Amino acid sequence: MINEFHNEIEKIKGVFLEELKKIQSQESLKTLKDKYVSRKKGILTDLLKRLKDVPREEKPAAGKTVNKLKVLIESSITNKLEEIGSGEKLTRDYSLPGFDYPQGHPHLLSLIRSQIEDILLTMGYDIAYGPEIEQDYYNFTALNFQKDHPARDEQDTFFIDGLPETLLRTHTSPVQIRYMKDHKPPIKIISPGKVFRKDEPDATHTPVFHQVEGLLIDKGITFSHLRGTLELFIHSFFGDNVNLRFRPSYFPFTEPSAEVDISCFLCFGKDPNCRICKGGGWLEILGSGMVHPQVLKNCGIDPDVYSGFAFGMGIERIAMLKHEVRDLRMFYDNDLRFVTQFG
Amino acid sequence: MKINLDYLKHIINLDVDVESFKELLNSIGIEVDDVSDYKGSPVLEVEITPNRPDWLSHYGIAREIKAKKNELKISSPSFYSLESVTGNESFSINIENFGECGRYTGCIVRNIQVGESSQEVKDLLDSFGLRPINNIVDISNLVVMTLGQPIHIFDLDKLQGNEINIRRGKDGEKLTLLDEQEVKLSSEHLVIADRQNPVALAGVMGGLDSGVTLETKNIFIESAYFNPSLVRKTARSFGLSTDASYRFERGGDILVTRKALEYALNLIDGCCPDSLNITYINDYFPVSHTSQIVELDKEYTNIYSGIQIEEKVSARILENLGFQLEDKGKSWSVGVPSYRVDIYGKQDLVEEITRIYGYDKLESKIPFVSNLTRSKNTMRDIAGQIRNYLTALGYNEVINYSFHSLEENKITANDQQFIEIKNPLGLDFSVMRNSLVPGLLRNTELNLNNSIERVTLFEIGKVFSFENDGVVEKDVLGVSASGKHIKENWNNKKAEYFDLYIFKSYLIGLLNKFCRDFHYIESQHIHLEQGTSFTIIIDGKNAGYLGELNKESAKKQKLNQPVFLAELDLAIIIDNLKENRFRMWNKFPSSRRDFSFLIGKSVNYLNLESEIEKLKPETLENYSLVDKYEGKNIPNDKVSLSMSFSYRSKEKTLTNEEVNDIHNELIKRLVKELNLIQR
Repeated sequence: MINEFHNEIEKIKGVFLEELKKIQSQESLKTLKDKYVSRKKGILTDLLKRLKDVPREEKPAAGKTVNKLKVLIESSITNKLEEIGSGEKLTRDYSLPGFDYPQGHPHLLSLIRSQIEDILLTMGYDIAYGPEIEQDYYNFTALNFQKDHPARDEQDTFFIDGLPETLLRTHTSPVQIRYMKDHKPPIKIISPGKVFRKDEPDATHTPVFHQVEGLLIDKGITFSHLRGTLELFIHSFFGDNVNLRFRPSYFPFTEPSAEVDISCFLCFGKDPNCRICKGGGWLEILGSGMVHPQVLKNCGIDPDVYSGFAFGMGIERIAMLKHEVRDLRMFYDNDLRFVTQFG
Repeated sequence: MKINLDYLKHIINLDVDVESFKELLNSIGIEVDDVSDYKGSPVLEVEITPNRPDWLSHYGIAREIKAKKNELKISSPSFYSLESVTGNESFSINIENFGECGRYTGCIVRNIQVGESSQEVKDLLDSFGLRPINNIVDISNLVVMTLGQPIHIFDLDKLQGNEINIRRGKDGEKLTLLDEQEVKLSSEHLVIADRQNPVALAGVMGGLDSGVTLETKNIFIESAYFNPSLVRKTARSFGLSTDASYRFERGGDILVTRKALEYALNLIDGCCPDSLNITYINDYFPVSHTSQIVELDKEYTNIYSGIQIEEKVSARILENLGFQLEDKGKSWSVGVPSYRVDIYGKQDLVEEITRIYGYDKLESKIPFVSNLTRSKNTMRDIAGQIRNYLTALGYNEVINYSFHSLEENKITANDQQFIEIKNPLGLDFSVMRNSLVPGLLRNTELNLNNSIERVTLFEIGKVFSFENDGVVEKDVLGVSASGKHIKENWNNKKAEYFDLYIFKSYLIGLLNKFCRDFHYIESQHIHLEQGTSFTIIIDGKNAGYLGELNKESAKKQKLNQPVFLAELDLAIIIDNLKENRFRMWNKFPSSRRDFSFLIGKSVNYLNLESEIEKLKPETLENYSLVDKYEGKNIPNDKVSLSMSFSYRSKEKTLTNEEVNDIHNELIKRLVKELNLIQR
């Protein structure tokens, strides 16, 4: 009896494998599956039912054989399903495009500002902030701008109505004054932020723009330290193939003062029709100098003991050069066709 | 100022082309803005920094070039010799206050012939951008462009009473200037007056009546030194800036007045056929000039600049620039020339030496600074994180001016005292912004007009207000959204438009990410639709709001579709940042129970939530709204809501019965408190 049972199982196995070979669609596979493993009338189900008629001592061996067949049939069907399944997938085109989910962009000025700040933070500078509505003392007087001196004309100023000596800061230097009054040297800070000058908006002027200024005060700081620092900064920002040029200049709060140019980072002065430097070869990038002794004195720092340097740059100016933005006003129009081009 | 290179070459034997001349000027601190050609002669427009009035002439420029190029020679201008002139005509010069006019050199020349200047002079002035008028006026312009000293020439016969008075103006006095503008004078102004009337604004502009014309026969020439800030005040009070005032207000050279006069006389002599008939000369110099002395340690320049410059090179540079050096062994006593109004201390001299020696020789050194303190910069960090968060969610950053119109400030507040700008660029920029909303609305309108379908914006910036009479600046995050939240797509998806629920989800998501504790309550805002606006409370403080722009404000801003807005006070968020401290999660399983019910429409969800909070059993871990339905089969005054509650104990696995008991008790009490109908 038991042999007969085993033979039957072998036969079923053979038939199943033959039938399986012919299966090509999910539908016929389902029919095959039903034929063998359906709970009601499946061949395998039937075999399992018949197990109870097998003599007691032969049951374990018979059970084992049926089970083996069951595992074979089930796994074969699963494998076959996968096989046909992948065929079915070909009927869907997964190369169709994905969907346009919205992507936001930071403002270009934020990007440039972070890049500048990140370099200077890495160089050990701390960040200091101050108010946009400032006192004349911090914005001018303490910075060695004499009353009634034409130097003040260079920074045409907005004043606040009804508040004496109150104005919109024309640079972020007043932050340095506030910081020097509150902290003893060594001092190593940058002061980024919005500044205001009374200029009619045009392609190269807006009444609001942004600056980052740096200040370092310690014993034994020299003009060469300023050059070294700015060189490091410029190389980090524009690349180390860019050269620096220091030109004598004037700011009431520094002595000596220097304007700093960089060699054109696009043509390196080689292209007379360069779209960045217009053939000039040099780009004016920042103002700098040794902090004027009077400014140190105004902040309670002894200029015979300490010295230091300061530098400042316009964020818009750098953004315009680096990203070839031609009109300053675009930064403040907030036209998304502009904003979404960056970052 | 304009430099005519050929004219300069008459003064100094400079042999350069225009390109290298430009480089030369740049290297000593004179920035060249523009180069043009005037009848074959290169003309350079240069920018003179306000500390260097001595550069505002061709001789001044020549002196700098000589300092840089030691081998060159400057040829002296020709001066008319006044040695044999007695000048016995009765005339007087009176200075009211020596502090206001430190020196006044004047002379009378009779029987001159006024006519046209030579073509050479006309061309020269034209190349400087000055209009030739007549030989006498042209000479005064030539003097200023050559020596930098402004002189003024009066028609003597138009002056009354044989005297010149340098005094303050008087209330009620008037003067018609050469530009035909009539100005009203007061004691604020310094004037030149004859016996009766003012005839010129001192150092600014002459009067029309006493000006030199073709009929003029006799002239009075003025070459003076006026107080810089008084000239500036006088000129500014009439909105004037002239070649003379521009120089005087920066600081003139008190020692050059007589030389300038002699130079002018020489030029007049050259264009009049007869020899000069000088009938009066007076160089009124009441308080003699003492030059300033600066002590300079010989090693200081090298220490301060970090460049090694030889002692003799430093000395030569200073001497070429006109400084008088007295060797004191380890240091020099440096006498400052009268035209250098910018030199006060040793650092100024370091600049002079290094500037001429060459900034290009500066070494690069990196300073090492020890004992530095650092702060945490939380504002920068959080602003940066918020920027990243919002951009990742599709919001674009904008930056607006800190000021806008009064009307714009009134969008969000109508009863406030605003911070106004005294001298704005126009009404559109006259008030410091009290909110970021007006800027966001302006930007929204622009972008919607450009057919952008999803206008989602944010700005991080300061807003301004008066509080307790002081100005307060707050850092604020403003967010706005209008248009399509999600675009339609090919997979049968329709576009989804922003509504308050969607907008709120973003804001609540942001607050959840950054804040440790917040909730919001219904509130009213003048720019927001009633019932759609909520105030956000963080740690008991009003931290901002969110809502939908109301129709009235939308119309004013020319917006005809819904706009959703929020503003958050960043300082309050920073004070309540999530601590992000690790807490072990609960290991026991949680059990969920759902509850569907009808609730009266008059009870809003915030009421329901606060009731749940009130009755909340300890094991209720969280709850949420999973479905809402109203309409068919639901009474008109009711809404059907389904909520899910999940329970979990910190101590043990709750049995089914325990969860049922806790849940049923909560439901029973909610039903009772809020008149719910269980479904």
